[in-house]
Amino acid sequence: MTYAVAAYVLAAVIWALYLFSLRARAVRVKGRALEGPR
Amino acid sequence: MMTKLRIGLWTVALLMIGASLWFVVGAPVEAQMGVVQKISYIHIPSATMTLLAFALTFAASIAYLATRAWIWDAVAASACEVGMVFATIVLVSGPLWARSAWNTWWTWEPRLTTFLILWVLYGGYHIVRSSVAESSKRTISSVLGIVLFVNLPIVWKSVEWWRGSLHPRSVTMTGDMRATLTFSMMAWLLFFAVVLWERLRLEVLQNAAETAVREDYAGEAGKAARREGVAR
Repeated sequence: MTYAVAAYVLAAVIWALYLFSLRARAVRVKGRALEGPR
Repeated sequence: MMTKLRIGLWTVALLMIGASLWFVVGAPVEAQMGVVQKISYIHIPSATMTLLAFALTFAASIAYLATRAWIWDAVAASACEVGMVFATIVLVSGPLWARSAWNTWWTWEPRLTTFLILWVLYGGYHIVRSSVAESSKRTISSVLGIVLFVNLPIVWKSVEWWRGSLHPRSVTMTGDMRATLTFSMMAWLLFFAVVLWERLRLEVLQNAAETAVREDYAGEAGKAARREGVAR
């Protein structure tokens, strides 16, 4: 039981972190595009 | 229009994932393995999506080398990255199942070993992609995307090609279990599609930002050259 729950929780954590990283990268790219050349 | 479609697809995908988890809870408990067998409802779809993503990387890499259209390289890199996430979940959920089934977290048997090699090699794809020069990034990535594909049939056939494989070749399931697995597979396939779209959007955004910056630089350089010309 514990192993099954652990597998699903870890999968959820991995996906959450990945989706968060996608969002963070998108925000950074938009910011860099607005800044323009330095 | 596209935003509405995106939000709609995200909603359907998340609802399907939620429903699949609900079905997993309600699915019959396997007689021998017990509740731990329910790990297979996330392990098998994740493994399938990994192979699908890397196969897409292979196809898009060929398309890039044939057409030189940057979007194919973007598709290849995006699919490869999403595939790596699925592969990581396979490598995390597998040992949790193995601890109950084989009484060990890890064993160097053919399927596990070849899958770990696959994960390391496709991880290398991203390392190489981020370290080579911008001018050759797309070509080198595409060549890698094609070469690394050799691993997929090896992983797929490893349980047949090598003796002493502990990993099950196929899973015997009752009607309810099979229905749950099929639904989970469809839910994760849709989720894969929406995450891939999201990752592709980031690649498009990056490309647009880089182009804009390059044009700005060209503009600034042009103005500076004209100023110098006027001064002379």
